[in-house]
Amino acid sequence: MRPLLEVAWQVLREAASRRWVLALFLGITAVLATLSFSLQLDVLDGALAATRLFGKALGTDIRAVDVALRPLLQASSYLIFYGGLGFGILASADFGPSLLAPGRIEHLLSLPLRRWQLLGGTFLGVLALSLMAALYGACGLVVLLGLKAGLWTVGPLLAALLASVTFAALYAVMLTGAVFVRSAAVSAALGAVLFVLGILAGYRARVATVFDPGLPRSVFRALTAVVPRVSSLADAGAAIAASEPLALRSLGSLLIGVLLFGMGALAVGVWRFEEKDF
Amino acid sequence: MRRRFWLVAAVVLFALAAAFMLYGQDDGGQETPEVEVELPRRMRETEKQRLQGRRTLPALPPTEEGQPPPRPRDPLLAALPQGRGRTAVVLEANALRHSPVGELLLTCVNGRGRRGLDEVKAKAGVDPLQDFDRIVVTPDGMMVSGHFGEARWDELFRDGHRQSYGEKGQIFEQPPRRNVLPNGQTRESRRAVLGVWDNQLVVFGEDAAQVKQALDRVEGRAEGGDPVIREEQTFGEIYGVLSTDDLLRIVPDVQPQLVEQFRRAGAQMELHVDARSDVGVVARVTGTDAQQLEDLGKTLGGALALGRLQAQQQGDERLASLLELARVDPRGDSFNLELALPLAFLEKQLAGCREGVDGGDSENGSAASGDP
Amino acid sequence: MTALEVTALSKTYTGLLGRRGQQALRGVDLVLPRGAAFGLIGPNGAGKTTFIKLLLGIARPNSGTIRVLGGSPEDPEVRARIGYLPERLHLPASATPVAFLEGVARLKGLRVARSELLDLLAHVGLAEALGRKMGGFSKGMRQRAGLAAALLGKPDLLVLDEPTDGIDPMGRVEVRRILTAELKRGVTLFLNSHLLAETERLCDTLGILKEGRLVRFGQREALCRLEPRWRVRFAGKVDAQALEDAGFTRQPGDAWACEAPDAAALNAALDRARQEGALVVELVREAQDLEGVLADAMGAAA
Repeated sequence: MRPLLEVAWQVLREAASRRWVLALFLGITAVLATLSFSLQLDVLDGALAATRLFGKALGTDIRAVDVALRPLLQASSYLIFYGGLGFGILASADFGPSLLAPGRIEHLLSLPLRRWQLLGGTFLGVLALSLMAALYGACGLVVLLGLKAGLWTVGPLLAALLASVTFAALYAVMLTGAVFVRSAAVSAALGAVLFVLGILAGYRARVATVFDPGLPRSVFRALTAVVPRVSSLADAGAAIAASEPLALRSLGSLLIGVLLFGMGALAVGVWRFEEKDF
Repeated sequence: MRRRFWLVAAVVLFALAAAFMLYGQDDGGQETPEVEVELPRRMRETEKQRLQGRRTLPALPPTEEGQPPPRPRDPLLAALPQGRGRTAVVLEANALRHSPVGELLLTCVNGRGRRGLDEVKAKAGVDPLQDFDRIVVTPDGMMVSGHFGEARWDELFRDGHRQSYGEKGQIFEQPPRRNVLPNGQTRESRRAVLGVWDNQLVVFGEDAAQVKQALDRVEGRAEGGDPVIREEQTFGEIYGVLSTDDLLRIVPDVQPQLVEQFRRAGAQMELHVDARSDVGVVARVTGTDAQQLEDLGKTLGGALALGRLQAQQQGDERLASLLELARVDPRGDSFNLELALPLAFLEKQLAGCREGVDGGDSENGSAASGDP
Repeated sequence: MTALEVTALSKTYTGLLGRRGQQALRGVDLVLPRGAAFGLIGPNGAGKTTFIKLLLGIARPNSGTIRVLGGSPEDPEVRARIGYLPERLHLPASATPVAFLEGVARLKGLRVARSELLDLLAHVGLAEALGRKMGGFSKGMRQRAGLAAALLGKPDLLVLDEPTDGIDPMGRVEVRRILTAELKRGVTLFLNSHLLAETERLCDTLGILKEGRLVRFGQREALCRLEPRWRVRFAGKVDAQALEDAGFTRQPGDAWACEAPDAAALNAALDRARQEGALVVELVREAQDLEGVLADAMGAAA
């Protein structure tokens, strides 16, 4: 376990020096800072009486703060989820290929580490990074709303956690792709394709009706059965952020399923990594 | 061998992933419907047509030169009191009767209530469930529009006095009722005066003068002026205008601070209730002092939030979920107080009442069979 | 005790879809005792780097066996005792050499004090660049940082692929001094360098790889075919007859040759020459240099 964590730590340290990652944290900070300076929420007896953005009053309804801010919380949740995934795919596409770069992989493989630990550690490191970024943004939003409107909600934090679990599945595929073809572009493309397929898979019941009943529909159902339900988790994140009921039978099951998919993809990567010559 | 282990593990993990995701997402299951209640914020096309059909009164001649040619009028609206600061609420009885809420409420009418309705039909020749079109409630009395051609007014007012009034009006008055008090003394109580216009409008008043005024307004003998409810305000299944005083009188337990705010704002409420499926309520509050009105809106919004919070704390999930749908929508010189009662909620609320009626009916039935 | 034992080692790289590609090694056998300084030489594409990768488990052989320090190179515990400097080491550009070494130490499972890391960096000649980011390092400085990483944890086996590549002549002397010190400590050195003089000076055992085969292997002296023949120069004018009588034969220029099977015979001949008034200024044993050995090996293999 220790070597695994050491590799993850190295990835984190390396990530800290990357411009992409710095840009991510700076971007999140800038958005939060802009909101904190420009957004003014007037709360009266627990109701949001007025909202001003850059000093201009927004025509919002006077409702309980948590109800009035639901659209904001939902939008933030979707932004954290989809924006975070999109940015994460771009920002982390190079980690796998960089690990496998000539001159580096030989050195790493000569160290007393097992190959699966190298891949697993890289995976964990990137995952920790994505989790930190998502939690940083979500915490900032929670504190912002808490201080501005007295609304202290863990919804955005939970949404961030859901986004991180989803990203784990996407990144596992990206990393595995990088093991097969050492290319950041291929890695990012795989992540993007799975991202889109995942959105589709979330609505597979509805999309299935587009296909003719019988074989085409069954094939579609079978193919999408194993794809992580990205959009379902995004919707669940938004629903949690807005304290609304979930349109799922079991969020826990879905999360476990997505995580297992990620582990499965990673297992394929380890299988290839174990047999590969460098 | 070790390498093959990873491949086997991958296949197993993918299979498990698919199983967990299929279970968790429940593609075949029903999605939780989003509560989206249509609120009556403006007149719909069907209501415009309804309004058009009700303009059966000839137009009054213009009072001033240069004014646009007046339109034919709706007798019921014409009969309403005129001027700001008055109260009148119209119930579209026929529409309500055939709405899901009306059906629900009818199931709650127990055996005694049904027999009462049958009695009215038998005695007066009027079936309230069929013949009533609209009912207007004002602080001074009540008006009902509908079809009263089969009404047996003379039988109903056998011991009273009947007089014709105006072109199509009739007024029925009854002598005061003598009530014997427990101490043996007697006390007289006045009985409502009834005015009928053209067998389509019935006006209940405290005295003949009041009824006559209403009939005068219908037949164009009263001074001109806008009725308390204008044509463009006649949308929804319940609509009307409430003055501050009447509003505060009918809403119980209003905080003194809120009463004061209402008065300072010179608030008047225009009410619209949509009951075609879910029940949506829009109360448009206007006032004479814009700043006070804005403050009032914020206070009401706060009160709704507070009420929801209290409901949540007290574990009243139903009330909390209802108040969640409530909001104040500021609109510059006015604000809308919007509430929604989903039909599912009403069904749940009235479920107990239905069961009670069913049980009560069987009891009454057995009682009736024992005592014809 | 052997440090390295390789038997019938073969490696063929496969291309996409398992298509067989280039055959890099063809049945190599090699045994190195602990403490040996082995130099692997050969032309480009001979399979030297592949051989090193197989030794470290970076690539897997198609056939044959490898035992390193008594175990399999797949075993992390074995690799923990190996220090490796790849030919083109990728260094994190934004890290300082201290941070880089700290990371390597952690990955090696070592607990090394910062002062030790600083000493090590000073040892390889990077004392002046401790605070600099490695992105701005010259090729020589990068090699030194890599060498420091290989030396971390005092390994039993040092596998160095072109360690002095890019290092200036003075630096090479320093590297040689460091490696000599390591050899004195008892380390086994596996050196792959295209600088033959470097290899000749450091290594007592040599191997020549050509087209995946180890065409020459043995002690340096044996490979260079050291002869019992010495080349001598004398100062000033000498009595040619007297020198010929003492057992010297004239060579082109002002050099003389002396056949002596051992040191006593050589010194006896020299004594006789000095008695005739000749003063020795140069004495060199005649042998084939490594370039010649390599050229021979290439020619023979061809």
